[in-house]
Amino acid sequence: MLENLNNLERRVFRTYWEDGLLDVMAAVGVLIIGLFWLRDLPVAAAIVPALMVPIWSPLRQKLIEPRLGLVEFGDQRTSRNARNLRWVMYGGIATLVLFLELYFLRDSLTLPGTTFIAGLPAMLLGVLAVLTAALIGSPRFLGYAAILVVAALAGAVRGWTPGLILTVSGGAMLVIASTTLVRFLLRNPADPGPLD
Amino acid sequence: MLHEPARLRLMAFLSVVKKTDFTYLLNLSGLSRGNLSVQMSRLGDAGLVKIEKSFQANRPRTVYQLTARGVKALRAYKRNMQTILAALPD
Repeated sequence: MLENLNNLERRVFRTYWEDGLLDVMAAVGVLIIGLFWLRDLPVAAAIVPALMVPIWSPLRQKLIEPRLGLVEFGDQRTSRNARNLRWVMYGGIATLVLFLELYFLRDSLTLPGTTFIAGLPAMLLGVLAVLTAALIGSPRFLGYAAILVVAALAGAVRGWTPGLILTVSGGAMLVIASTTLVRFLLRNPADPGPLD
Repeated sequence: MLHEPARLRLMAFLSVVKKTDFTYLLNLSGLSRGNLSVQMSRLGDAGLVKIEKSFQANRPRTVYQLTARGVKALRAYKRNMQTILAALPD
């Protein structure tokens, strides 16, 4: 039986993101930010989008498209994506600005509850993960948000640095993301091409 | 043409996207390669689906897109089925 066409479109759209490549890139991004922060270079986090954006399309064409195929969504979906993506970008920019502000003000912060300040960068990335989950309809990103929030709270209580919290959560995300990607690659051998 | 369940399903898939290729339809529909190829050829021959064959990185790629005639046929099929189903006793 055919399902409702709107549900079908949503399902097709979700399928497009189920390969795990975006997950791996997000996890590597968090890990890189964490490692830079551990070296006291959080400003260098700005290179993460500059690294990720140019390699996204070639990687997807090389790894995913031969297996999953190609799909172009309708105008309605495309404009909705563009609108939602703008919100995620605003969220990303706000996160980056907060990162930098925290970095430069880290010695002068004397607010109550500053114990949890160390977890704030991971919390902010958690918010970004929730926005991404809403954008692409992937519950896995809600899981990554949960990892980031739990690591932020637990790390702050244990007195970890923001860099350590991000490195640990990025590592945990990378394990799940790589498993998802490897499973996708194994289950979907590259298609030899259509029959004529 | 559209009453055949596999073809109706493929037309429904194509109606929710702008265009898609053989591999994506293969994964989405769960049909065998042979069956999918036959059904898409029939839809193409009937003018309901536009078929574009090309090569990308030395690999053949066949892209499908619903034609205006295909959209009209799908709408007409829906209307007809609704009329028939509405006339059925409860």
